[in-house]
Amino acid sequence: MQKQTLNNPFANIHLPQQFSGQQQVQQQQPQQVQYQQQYQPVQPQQPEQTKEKKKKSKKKYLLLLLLLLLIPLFKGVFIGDNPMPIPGINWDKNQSLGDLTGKSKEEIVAALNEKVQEGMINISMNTNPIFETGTSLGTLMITNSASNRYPQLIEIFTKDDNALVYSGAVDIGNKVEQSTLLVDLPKGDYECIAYFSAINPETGEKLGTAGANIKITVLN
Amino acid sequence: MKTNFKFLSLLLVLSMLLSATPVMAAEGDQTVPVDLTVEAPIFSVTVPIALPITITEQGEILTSDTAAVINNSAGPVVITDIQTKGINGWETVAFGSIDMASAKVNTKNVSLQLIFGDKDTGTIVNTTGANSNDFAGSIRLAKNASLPLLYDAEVPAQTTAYESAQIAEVIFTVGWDE
Repeated sequence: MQKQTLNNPFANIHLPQQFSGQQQVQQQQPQQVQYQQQYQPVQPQQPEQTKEKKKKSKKKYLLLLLLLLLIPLFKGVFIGDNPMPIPGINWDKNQSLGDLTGKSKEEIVAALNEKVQEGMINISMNTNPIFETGTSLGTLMITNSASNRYPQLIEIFTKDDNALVYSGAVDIGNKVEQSTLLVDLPKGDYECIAYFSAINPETGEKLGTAGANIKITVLN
Repeated sequence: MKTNFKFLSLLLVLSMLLSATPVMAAEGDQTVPVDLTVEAPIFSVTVPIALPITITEQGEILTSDTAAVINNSAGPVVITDIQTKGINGWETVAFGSIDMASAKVNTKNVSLQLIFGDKDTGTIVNTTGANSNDFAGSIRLAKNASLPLLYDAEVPAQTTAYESAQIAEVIFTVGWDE
């Protein structure tokens, strides 16, 4: 009996290679190879490739820098001390960066404290000078301490009638042990105020004054 | 001879007795004087003659915080008087009377407040008007004492920048605490 070939409906249908058994086997091999290749360690880049990369990154940075420099151009002015020239605009050459904030509070107070120290005055004298007579020398004992900064003008006024009975200037570090009055005062006790004024050594201008209560005694 | 000798002896005894009389008569209270010699005492006080003020560019008033009155005298002293007056065209006004926010610019008025001692408990002296203030007592400083002096001021804003322009003066008068 002859074998009859069964009517194979798929006889003329050729499967794509990827689905053929043998070829699948064959393809597995390259896949396996590829699989292995994926996990092989990365080979280090060649020196030429590194240089290329560096050059490229340098160019990028230069380009970025150039862009940054060009931005103010579009704004019309440079950030800094040198403005870009603009037609019709005359930039003041004396300008500089920043605003006018001046000294801090602490700096100002420190300067004020220094001025106060410079303006301190020591006043010293005998608060009961005695004169033998209205025209004789009396024990004033005025001292302009060496710690003072300015010469002193001492003026003594009587309290009751505000009469000037003594006036004299004393230099720094000097003293007046005895001196005479401007007025021949009669015998008695006189309540007075002695004003000590620090004076400008060049102009004689009074810079500040302090007073001391004293009593002048004229014995005869 | 013997009589003369006896007479001389008697005379000698009598003179001894007479010379001893003050000692023999020293009975009862004795007064021993204590002599005191006083040299002219040192009167020496250090006071500030400048109370600088700065108006900052923001219009804030700043003053010194190191001013003081120092007693270097042989005993305690007192501040018996304080004079405050405007000078060079300026006038002192009552402290607290200048509204710094609305006072007209360039007005030449200044008010002062002085605080002797602690800023919370010390003696306060305020200007009260033209060349006057409310100091009415005495401020005592013990021997070798240093009394801090804080001060405040009110000055309207000024459009002209000044450098150390004198606008007011303060005169302290001191004396012995007696």
